[in-house]
Amino acid sequence: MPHTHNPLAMFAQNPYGVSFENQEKGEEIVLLLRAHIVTLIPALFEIIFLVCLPFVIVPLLSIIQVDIAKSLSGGQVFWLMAVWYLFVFGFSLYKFIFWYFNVYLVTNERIVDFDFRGILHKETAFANLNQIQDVTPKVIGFFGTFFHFGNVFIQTAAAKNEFEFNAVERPDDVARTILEQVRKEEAESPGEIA
Amino acid sequence: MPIDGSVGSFLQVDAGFLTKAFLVLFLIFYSVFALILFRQIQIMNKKLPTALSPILRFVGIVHLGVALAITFFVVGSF
Repeated sequence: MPHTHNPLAMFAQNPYGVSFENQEKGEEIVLLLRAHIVTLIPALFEIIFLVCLPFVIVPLLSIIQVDIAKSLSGGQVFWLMAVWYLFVFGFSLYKFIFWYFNVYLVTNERIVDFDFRGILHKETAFANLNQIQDVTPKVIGFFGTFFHFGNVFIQTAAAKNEFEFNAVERPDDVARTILEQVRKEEAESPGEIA
Repeated sequence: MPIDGSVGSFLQVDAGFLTKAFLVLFLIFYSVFALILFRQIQIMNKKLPTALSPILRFVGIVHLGVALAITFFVVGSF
């Protein structure tokens, strides 16, 4: 199977140059998944809104007789703008890394869920392929149907008994790949990594 | 009763001072946010190294550096 070289791919088969902590010797990443790029559209609108906000606020303030040019010096207005756009950049970076590091992995041994739920909250969950009991792909809604993305629910006998791959591209292919790997794992002798 | 001179001048806080006070406070919190963001990038890069890891680390450190630099500029030269 060919390697996916795009580091921003949402559906990467055999991703090139990717590894993860606790990866065992001989364990290979079969599939790397991120939420579909369409799920970033609300964040994109928020960023555009924040970029345009100063151009809206200044005329609005002049309506209520507050003239920023008179109240503040040129330098002060410059620093105010610099801080605002630094904030917008930080917000965009946060949204990007939130998307980039929310990753689901399917390896030839297990599934891994890197959940990045907030700036101070992240979780990592693992389940061996031989613990997987049921895989259910679901495509719901207009955008999901149109752009072909959805959720994959994975029932396991592991400590975390349900894994959810949220808004991933081609959920049917994801489910098929997981089940394929489960079948291969079942055919192996116990403890074998291949 | 007329307001005492010193109290009167205290009440007449100018927009420049208010802006500076707000910016300094905001930038202090923002620098902490930038530091946490950088640490998150570092930790996640360790957990899941990818081809983009060095670029993300660089962006994170530049972001933190710019936040700190603007804080010092605003405190010093506003």
